[in-house]
Amino acid sequence: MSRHIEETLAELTRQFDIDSTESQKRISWGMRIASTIGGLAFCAAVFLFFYRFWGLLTTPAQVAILAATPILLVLGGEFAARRERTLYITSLILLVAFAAFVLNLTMLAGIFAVAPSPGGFLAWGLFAMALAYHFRLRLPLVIGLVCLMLWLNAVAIMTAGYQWTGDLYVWEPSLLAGALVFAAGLRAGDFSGTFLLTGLSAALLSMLALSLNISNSYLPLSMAGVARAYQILGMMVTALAIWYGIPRRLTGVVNAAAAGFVVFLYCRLVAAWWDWMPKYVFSLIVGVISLGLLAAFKKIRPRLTRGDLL
Amino acid sequence: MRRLWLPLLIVLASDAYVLVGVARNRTGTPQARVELAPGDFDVVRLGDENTGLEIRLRIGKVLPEPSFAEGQRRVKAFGYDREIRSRLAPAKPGFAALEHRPGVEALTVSDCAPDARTLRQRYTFVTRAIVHPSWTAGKIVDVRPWVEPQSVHVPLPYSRVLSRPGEHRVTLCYGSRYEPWICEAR
Repeated sequence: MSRHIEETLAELTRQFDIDSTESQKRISWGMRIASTIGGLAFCAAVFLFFYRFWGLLTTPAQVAILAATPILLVLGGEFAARRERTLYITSLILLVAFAAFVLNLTMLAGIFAVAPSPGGFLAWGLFAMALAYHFRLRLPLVIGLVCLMLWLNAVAIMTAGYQWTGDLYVWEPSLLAGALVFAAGLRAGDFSGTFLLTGLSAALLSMLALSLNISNSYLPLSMAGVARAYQILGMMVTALAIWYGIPRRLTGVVNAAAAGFVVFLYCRLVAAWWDWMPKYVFSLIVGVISLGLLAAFKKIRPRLTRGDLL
Repeated sequence: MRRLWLPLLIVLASDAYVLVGVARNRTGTPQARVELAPGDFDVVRLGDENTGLEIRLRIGKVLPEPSFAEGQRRVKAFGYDREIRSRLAPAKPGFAALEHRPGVEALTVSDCAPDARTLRQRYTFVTRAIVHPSWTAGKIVDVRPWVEPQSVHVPLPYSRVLSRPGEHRVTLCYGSRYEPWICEAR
């Protein structure tokens, strides 16, 4: 029986390149980290190589090289994907392709002194999403969603009549963009967990910025009123996300929401009590609340035994 | 290869969009053609491992001290008079008029407005700007423009001319979208 299991595992490992032992899993993590570091290093190499020679090239040659590089790298990614099952090399090549496309539009804007436009984020976002869906990879998907959210934010700021490259003070469009990505995640199939976690993270960061008055707000309230409103909203949203995530085993969503809930709760406590309460009483109350949270999270933990979506 | 055409199409379409915009900007007679004196700009090499060259405009005094009425006119033109609720009113896009004043070794920002046409009726050298409100005691009293972009890429063959030592003169052209390019260097 045990020989049969070993043979089946060996066959599955050979066919699908899966990890069947703990040590294989550790090596896979090492490979993922190495491919990410390698990807970042290659991205830097592409930028620096172009900067080294672009002054010696005529403008048409510069444009041709900038346009051809991401196209050739995408074709290279397709070539690699057909020859490996784990897609480590493919991810690395595609990360460089994305960097080459960023370089492409950034340099074109620099060469021709084009007025800054958020359209670059739209193009980069769509490009990364197209790569993610074609190659079934999560990293390009996260990059694509972040770019699309930045684009939505910039468009909302421009629509309100402000300069999008100026001080991105108004974070409410990011909150809306995060909510849209989260909603899209409900029907995103295999990528559902990635959509939900990216959307939730963006929404929580926006609410945190608004609750700490780092950001300006469209709400017709005083600065203190805006901070209070977003601290309470933050706690409600994170509690809802925990409630939604537990029965569906969305570990990433529940973890992010739990961390967010703690941060919003402490922000609210500091805002409400720090100034007038004796500091030792405040610290004591925070300690007691922390014990209560520990007990609550201990109860939640066993319900999340499976379902690591990200 | 079924869906591989999509990322490739996005790259090509984005490049085409940028290049069509550039062509539209540079087609026809330029909005402005300005010869910069040696004191109006610096030639900047972009680093030891960067062969690119650009000129950087020297922007001197920005909007000489205005009268109260002049400041309020600009505040109103940019719509900041309705936004005194918060001290964090964000920057707005606009245009600035640059002038070469005798005896001053830099360009002076003489005026700014939300639209370029208003300025073009009064000034030749109009460029894009980002405008920030300037405050005093909770009230917006004027706006401060930040010229954007201040640097213009120097393509071949002009980069060879500007790399040589000596005093240089550069002619900047501004097209229909108020985006500059170097149309002569000597």
